[in-house]
Amino acid sequence: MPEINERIRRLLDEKVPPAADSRTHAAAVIAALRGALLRLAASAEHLAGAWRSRLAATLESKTNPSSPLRQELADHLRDAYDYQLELGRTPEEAWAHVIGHFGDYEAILGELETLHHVPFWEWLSRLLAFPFVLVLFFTYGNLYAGLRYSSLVSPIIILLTILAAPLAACNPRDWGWPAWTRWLTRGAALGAMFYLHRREGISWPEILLVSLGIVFVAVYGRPFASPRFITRLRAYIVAALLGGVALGMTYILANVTDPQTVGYGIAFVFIHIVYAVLFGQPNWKILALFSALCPAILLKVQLMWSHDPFRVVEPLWTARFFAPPLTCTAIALVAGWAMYGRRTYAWWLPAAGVLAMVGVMIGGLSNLVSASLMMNIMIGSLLPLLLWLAPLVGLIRVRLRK
Amino acid sequence: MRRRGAAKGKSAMKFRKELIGATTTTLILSVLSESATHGYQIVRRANELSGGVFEWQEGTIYPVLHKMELAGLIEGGWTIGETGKKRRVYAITSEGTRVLREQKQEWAVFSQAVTALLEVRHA
Repeated sequence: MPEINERIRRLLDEKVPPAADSRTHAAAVIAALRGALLRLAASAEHLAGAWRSRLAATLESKTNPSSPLRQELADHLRDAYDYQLELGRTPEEAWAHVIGHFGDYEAILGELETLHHVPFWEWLSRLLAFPFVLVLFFTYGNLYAGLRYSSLVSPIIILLTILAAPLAACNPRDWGWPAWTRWLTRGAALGAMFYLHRREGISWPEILLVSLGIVFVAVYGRPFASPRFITRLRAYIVAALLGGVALGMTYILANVTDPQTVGYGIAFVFIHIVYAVLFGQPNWKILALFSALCPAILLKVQLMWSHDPFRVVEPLWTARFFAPPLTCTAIALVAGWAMYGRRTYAWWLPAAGVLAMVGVMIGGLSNLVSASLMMNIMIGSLLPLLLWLAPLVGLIRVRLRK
Repeated sequence: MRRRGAAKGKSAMKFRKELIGATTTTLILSVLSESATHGYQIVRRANELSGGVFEWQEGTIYPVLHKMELAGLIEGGWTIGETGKKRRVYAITSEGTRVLREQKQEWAVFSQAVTALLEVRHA
């Protein structure tokens, strides 16, 4: 085995020279920085030798992003070699086969490197996704809805979330520290959040909600991480999010007579669904079903609150506003399906379904404070109408083109 | 992904890059729909099933597997082999199964149409 390892190492050194790794200007800049830092380290006489070598090793691994990829390539070569041995070939024959049939090493490495490279804008956008959604939702919610736990929307909480997320997201292993130290940074981020939230007077379960968001950001927005990381966790994330949606729905139905509690429940469900869209690969059928159920739930809420003297709401009047979008939705779905076929038309479903759901929810949430804001629910229910009309517009355009 | 014409009268046959690129994902999904396996076995199985028409280069499959994993079509996990060595095993996901089903239908209709068209031209 040591012999084959040595052969693979020599092969990769020969076929994939280190110069091939530095493909970008960024890599060149990092390499220059590395040189400067190493010189700085070397000139610092008081530094211990071990520390200096560790720094050099860390910088080497950072400036040579394909190192783990070279390792992966070596593993695949070894796999191929082992299989040839299992087929009964002699070591020399097996090696000759591997050499002859593996493909262009440099091209393979280049492709792997491209796949593993996460652009700056991508991980930054991931990192900011959670606070951005929070800001959007709670700004709107705070202005129009008046949530039960209004302190949750305070600017300081949003700021803390934005600040704590990178701490939770960073990975000390990138600096050459042991793997277990990652739990320290994560723990520090969550600890800071718990402490600061408590100081702001926020208690359970809001802390859990915000912390959940931070953990997701930490997982998803880990700087420089390969998106493959999230793919592996996708099933667990989606399961957790669907659990959250179910919990929120139960909460809403159990407290349907209390407008403020229902508001909190809707917020909880809303955030989980937004996470599902952002972080997972949601099941659009379930989301579409949920979005169809939303008007029914809101209608039920309206009916139950109609006895409140401060809420002059006519259930039938509300129903009239839900009926047109639902009818149009059905017509658009059937027409679009018939015209475009499932595959093409399906492109519209996810975006339209989710946006429709968000529209209805925001409309419903806005209505929680007073009946005078019924205009919002109108807007909320008309949004799906507009969205579902989009495929029909496309259908007309196709007809005209023909 | 390169595919070479193989022996037995087909060795001189070379496929266009576009054709190869368009079918690789479908073929990998098809192999994985049989059972979860690792990269090297996928190549061997694809070469075997094609009756020697395709001869995929063993290393070139790995970037494709990475892409498919990113797209959620397949899922990778580590297993310990008989020799005690860790190996990455890929399995098809439910999304991959759905895509495979669609691509199979698409391919059937497409190839049928192309064959019909070519036969008309040569009649």
